[in-house]
Amino acid sequence: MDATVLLQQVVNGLSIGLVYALMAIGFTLIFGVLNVVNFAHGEVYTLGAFVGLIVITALKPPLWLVLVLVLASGALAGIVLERLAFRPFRRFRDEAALKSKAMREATLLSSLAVSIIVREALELKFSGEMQTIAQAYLLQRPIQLGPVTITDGNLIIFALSVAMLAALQFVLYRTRIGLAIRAVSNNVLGAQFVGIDTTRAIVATFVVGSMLGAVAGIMVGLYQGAIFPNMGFEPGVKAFVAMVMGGLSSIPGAVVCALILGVAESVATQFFSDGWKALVSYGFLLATLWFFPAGLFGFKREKM
Amino acid sequence: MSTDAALLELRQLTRRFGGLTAVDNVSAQVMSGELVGLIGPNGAGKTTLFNLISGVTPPTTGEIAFEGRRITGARPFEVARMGVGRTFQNLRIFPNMTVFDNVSVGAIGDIALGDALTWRGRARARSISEVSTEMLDKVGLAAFAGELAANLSYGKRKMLEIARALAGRPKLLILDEPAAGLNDTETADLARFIQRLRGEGLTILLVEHDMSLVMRVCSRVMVLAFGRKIADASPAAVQSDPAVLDAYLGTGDE
Amino acid sequence: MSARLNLVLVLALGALLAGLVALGSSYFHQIAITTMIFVILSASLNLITGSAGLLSLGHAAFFGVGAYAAALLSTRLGWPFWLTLPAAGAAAAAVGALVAVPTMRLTSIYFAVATLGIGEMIYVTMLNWVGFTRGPMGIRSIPGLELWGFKGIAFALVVTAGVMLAVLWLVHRLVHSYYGNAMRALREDDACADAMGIDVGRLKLQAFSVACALAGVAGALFAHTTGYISPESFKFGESILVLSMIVVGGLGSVYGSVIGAVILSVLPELLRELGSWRMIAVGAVLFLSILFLPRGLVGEVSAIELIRRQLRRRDRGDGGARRVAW
Repeated sequence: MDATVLLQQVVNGLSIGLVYALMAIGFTLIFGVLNVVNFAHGEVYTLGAFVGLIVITALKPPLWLVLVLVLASGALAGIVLERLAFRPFRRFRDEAALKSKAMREATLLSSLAVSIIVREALELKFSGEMQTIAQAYLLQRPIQLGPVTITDGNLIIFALSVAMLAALQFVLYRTRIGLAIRAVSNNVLGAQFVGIDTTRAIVATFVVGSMLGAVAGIMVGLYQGAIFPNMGFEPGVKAFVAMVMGGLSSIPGAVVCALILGVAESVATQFFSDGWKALVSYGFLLATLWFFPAGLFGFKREKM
Repeated sequence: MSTDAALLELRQLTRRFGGLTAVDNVSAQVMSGELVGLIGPNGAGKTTLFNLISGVTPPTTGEIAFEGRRITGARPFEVARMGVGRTFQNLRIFPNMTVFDNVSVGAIGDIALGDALTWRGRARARSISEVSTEMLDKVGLAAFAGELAANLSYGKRKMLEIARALAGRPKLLILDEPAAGLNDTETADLARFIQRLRGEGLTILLVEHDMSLVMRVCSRVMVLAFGRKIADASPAAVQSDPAVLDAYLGTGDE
Repeated sequence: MSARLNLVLVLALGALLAGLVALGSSYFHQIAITTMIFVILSASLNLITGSAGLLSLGHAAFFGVGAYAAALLSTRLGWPFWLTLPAAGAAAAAVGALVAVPTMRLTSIYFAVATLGIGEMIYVTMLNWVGFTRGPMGIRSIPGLELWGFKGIAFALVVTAGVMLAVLWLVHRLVHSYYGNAMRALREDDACADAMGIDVGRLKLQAFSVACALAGVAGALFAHTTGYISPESFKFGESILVLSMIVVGGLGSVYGSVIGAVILSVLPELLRELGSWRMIAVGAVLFLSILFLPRGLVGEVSAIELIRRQLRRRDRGDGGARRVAW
């Protein structure tokens, strides 16, 4: 196979991998703090894309403004989601109950239910088809870089992802709320004992995670030129796979695995038709669950 | 005390977790019909030793034999089916099942799918029902048979666990800190009950933190500290063993 | 629930079906058949998720495996339904066992996600292996249920009802036996069940295989009674629909499976005009159930049961009725 083609696929894969990484971080943050899987994370991604779309169609603002509005919508979605699908189940005060199987399953189902409602509502409003996006916004202008062609979309995704990761690092390690989040991830009761407002920390986690997800959504929407109600499902699954592969509580692990996943998927399109592409991620998921219960990087292991 | 009669035998058991040696070259025996205590300060390795015996963790080196048969590395359910019953320190009953059903789980063991559907299964079911009723009577919970296990008080839950363990008609019963959370009266009742069980021929290994219970009922006591067995003698001898006192209380100097 | 009550219900069902055949339109016939098929699906999922406590998010895939097996065997090899039904069950059980073996040591959430992944993989395979499954075009002209000259909608109703009753009997027996106790012990605390002598891995495998086999049989019925199948009927959304049925009806309860299936099959039909709201309604119902009725309507310790217990507090005499007789 041609080396340039391969390289091209790798570059594309890295781009999409970065998007998965942004989503995977959101998953990992929420999981770290609450020990639950947020099934509605994919819908936050979709919402971000749709909000961006609506904003573009209605107001035609510059791109940076679109992103700001999308970030805001993501934050709002995170707050609502936490309040609706997760908080009602935190009726207990002790650690064992908080992390109990029943709680995890209940929130999995409740977030699943919310995701269904959101997705179907979008489908109702926008009839499940791909939406048209004004040409000017599509991040598909090609740029030649030696043997490889990338689009301005790739560059923007890269720049934006790096910026957001840096911002995340800053928030987590240089702000008080970030400290609170890390404390709660580590030990909920301990954090409460030292006076940290755990509820606020949890909400903040959802806000941050959802903002990342929403931005990922609009970026992919513009990059691939396709925005449709079901678009969050697959990236959501892939982000989950990345999180599991990365060892569940490790953000760097999740990022690296998301990139691996993106590249693997991209390269796979050379060998399989598009339809089978999904098997790559699911295959990775199952392989990880079966062979690497501690994740590829074996960080802080949760009983699987 | 010939080795042939040993019901449970531990030979040079060692369990390492990375750099930590939780159980260090422990050898011991439990003879049929004995009531043996296993004590030691927190972190001594009692839980790990217990997990080794019951098959939850495999030993790094060493052997375990039950009734003369090697059970090293056997899985928990295999060990249970050979006749080892146990209770849990942190009380693991099945909260959403009735008391009766809880006990019956101890007797189900190797039930097969077909047992639910065939005539032969009916006979099996009858024997499970009988032993469950018998054990419920024995621990005095017969009146609560239809009650949800979640509704039982702490003390009754403990007895439920024992009934469940007994339902498997074990040859060896391992009790994991049964006196935890009980007051003096309840502990005395428990002691009497354990002695009654022993009188019926059951071999009992009592892992316990509470000295009074152990000293009261056990004919022999093993002491663990830092993963090693530091004493194995009668309660009186152990109580005055300087090494044991040192381990529990510590001396002022190095 | 006594045997007499069950008998009464079966007879009532018979009467209802007879009435349908005599008076109802084919629209009602189809609803009845679909509902009964969902009852089978619901009961089978309840076995694995309600009783054994293994949350499965890919049940529709096994439904599909059975449907495709029956469709292919009947259209390509001319097998009659009384052969395709068991074959479909066996095929689905085989796939289920294949799936179950490696996933056995995973606990709840991870098992759930693994089943999700597997469900998706099976769906993707159905969609893309065009040479075998005809992909999105689906398989058409699947022969209906026919035996010794009996055919048509009345016969289909009878056969479906018969299979449903057989399945319900089987599930009922398993749930109310000591085998059921073993499954519930698995659900409550699998490590403890292990320590009590239960071969946890084998039990999970068995329960899962049986549940998948029953789903496969449901799939075969679906294929024969609708005459056309395509991957669209076996997507993730369908798995969630069945899951919602048992959550609403009651986890671990055979009656709950029936009630949940009926509610979530009939309700969307009644709201036919609001057709696209079907899944939203399902999502909403699922959410509300989790929140307010965590054990479902008639689940093992449901809201209804709790009320009954309060009322029965007085006559504790014999310790209350034991649930297990066999």
